[in-house]
Amino acid sequence: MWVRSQRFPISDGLIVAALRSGLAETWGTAGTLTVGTEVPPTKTRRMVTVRDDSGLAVGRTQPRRQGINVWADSSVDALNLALDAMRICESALPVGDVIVSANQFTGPYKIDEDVPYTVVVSTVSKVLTHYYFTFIATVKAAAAA
Amino acid sequence: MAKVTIRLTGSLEKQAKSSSLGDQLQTISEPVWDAAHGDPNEAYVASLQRHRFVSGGPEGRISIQIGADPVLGSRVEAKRGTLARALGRIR
Repeated sequence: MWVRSQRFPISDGLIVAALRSGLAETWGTAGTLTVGTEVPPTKTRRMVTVRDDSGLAVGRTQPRRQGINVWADSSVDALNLALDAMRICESALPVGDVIVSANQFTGPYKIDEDVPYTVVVSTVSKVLTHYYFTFIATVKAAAAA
Repeated sequence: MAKVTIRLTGSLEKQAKSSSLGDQLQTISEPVWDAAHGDPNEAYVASLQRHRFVSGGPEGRISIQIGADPVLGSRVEAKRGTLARALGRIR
């Protein structure tokens, strides 16, 4: 029986890298913005996380649903940060031969949390506003070594 | 992604509304329904609902929708992507 020899790549690291560089242009970094696959142990004023919810592989491609969580210390900043992140995902992806397309965006929509995150900004405790959006990043398998 | 809709696509006309195809859709939705019930948030699980919708006219379609309480559903989906993960396993 013929068996396809291929391996699907990790894709969320590429999305994190695209968001880090794209968001740094507008939002800066300097410890106020963190982008990663998990929420940092020490919360910052603005945070973005990328989660891979995977999807059904068909042949050489796999459409993976990505969940993007965005927090900021004001509701306007949170929505703007989420919309900027969406723009970057739409424009900066695809990346090389790994992510071939990014589409089917849903959101951003506001998440009302049970216990919201808080950060201290200039000795003032501020509640972080949470937004969420999803999209499908279609990744392409590479020939297995 | 706080709710999932599974529907027939394509130009099936009257066949698309037949009860047997509706039953097939129901079968397809089972893994999503089961996965949603595996979520650790009990209030979310208790609020889960599944509905079958049939639209009228010759181009009518049949669909199955799985959803939860909007606030709880959006929290769970943002935190764990429960429905997104379940939907990703449907063949």
